[in-house]
Amino acid sequence: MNKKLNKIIWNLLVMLFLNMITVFGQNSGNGKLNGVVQIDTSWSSDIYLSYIPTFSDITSMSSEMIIADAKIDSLGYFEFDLDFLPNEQRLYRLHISKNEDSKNSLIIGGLNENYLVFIANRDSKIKLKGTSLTPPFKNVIFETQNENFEFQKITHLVFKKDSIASKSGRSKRKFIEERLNEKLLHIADSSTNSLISLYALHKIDFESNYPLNENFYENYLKKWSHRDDGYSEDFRKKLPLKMPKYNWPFIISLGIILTILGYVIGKYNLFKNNRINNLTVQERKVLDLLKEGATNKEISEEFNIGISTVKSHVSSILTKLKVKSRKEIMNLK
Amino acid sequence: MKNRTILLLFTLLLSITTFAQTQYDQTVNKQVTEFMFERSIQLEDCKKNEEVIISIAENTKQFELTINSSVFSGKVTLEIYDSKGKKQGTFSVGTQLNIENAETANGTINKSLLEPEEGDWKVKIIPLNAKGLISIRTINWL
Repeated sequence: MNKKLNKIIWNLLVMLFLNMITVFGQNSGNGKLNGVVQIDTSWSSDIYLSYIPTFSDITSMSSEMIIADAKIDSLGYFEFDLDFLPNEQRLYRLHISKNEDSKNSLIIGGLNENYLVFIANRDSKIKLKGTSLTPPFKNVIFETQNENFEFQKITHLVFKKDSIASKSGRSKRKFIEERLNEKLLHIADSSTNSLISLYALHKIDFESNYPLNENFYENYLKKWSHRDDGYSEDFRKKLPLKMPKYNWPFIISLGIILTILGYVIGKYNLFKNNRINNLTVQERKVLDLLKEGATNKEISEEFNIGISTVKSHVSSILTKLKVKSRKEIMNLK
Repeated sequence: MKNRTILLLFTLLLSITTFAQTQYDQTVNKQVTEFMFERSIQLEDCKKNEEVIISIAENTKQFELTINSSVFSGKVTLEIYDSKGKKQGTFSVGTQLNIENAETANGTINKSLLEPEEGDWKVKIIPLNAKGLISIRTINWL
């Protein structure tokens, strides 16, 4: 009986132990990337995995970006463990180098384009197959991973556009670009994965596309406002600043009010009383008589001063009050 | 004295090779002239941005541009703009170590277009303490 109980306890312990290993394994990540590429002997048999911190870095090359390397065997097979990657999905790049080049070598465009960008995290299980010899990553098929299937769709679209555009005249090229931009905008709008969505916008050249689709980009920023990774931050920084919207009805109303106010002030000499303070005591006395409509002679007799002195006072008063005639003085309050 | 030293360090050496040949193209039944330009630029601890102008004539049928960049220390970014100011490509290469010749980083960009935008295209070179070599090769078919 005891023997049987011991066996049951022992079995339970083994099952518990195995279960713990499985759980631990899941938490620590067991991602893998493997695949097959077709390369000729001009390529080195080393393949490198780089971390791409922003979309601009897709076409940057530096040894510090390389995080792992592996060998490509004679059948073109290679494999990377991804369990050391972060939990969040990020961008990574695979690249190979020509025999004569250093490992830090990036070739963009042409028959020797040597890189492939994809999305991964520590749990990703990615299996890919290269179907083209030149360039080696031209027609890569992702046999697993939904994200990369969609991601690769963008790469294929751009590749196809570049290929057709290089063989087309200017006018046709413009139509091809417009059509591609429409497709990419649709992917950016409909994708539920922010990396895929941003990648589509990056391929549109959003900095120049922004003025054409301002509303789209405004809504886009609202939609993804919760994302605060390096890719989203880089996108927000590069998006041209929106021109401030002026409240034109308010500005026009204010202009009309100020014009009317200016007219009233001018018409009724509202500020002229302040100028009276600039007059001397004698000039003020003369001004009082001028307001009553007194002539030079009457003023002369009132203050017992000469006509020429009165004329001088009147001239000074007209200048200081900035009025043109005695009639205007009479209208002053 | 210090300024003088800095000026000497930031020198940028430029050499230009040109080549032209005319051939009979049976596919279009016309004489086709091919112009090839190659500019080699040596960066010596450069920090100052430079621009290389590539002129494209009005009736250019095809245009090919290849830029090779090898950096031994520092970093360099290259940007290509067409005659309308639209960015047509960019890449950057840099070394992790600042020790000269300890490592090399290479970058190449290839562009090929039929009936390119005529006018002055620009290759903007943005170095950051860069030592290295840049080669800009263009072929125009008229």
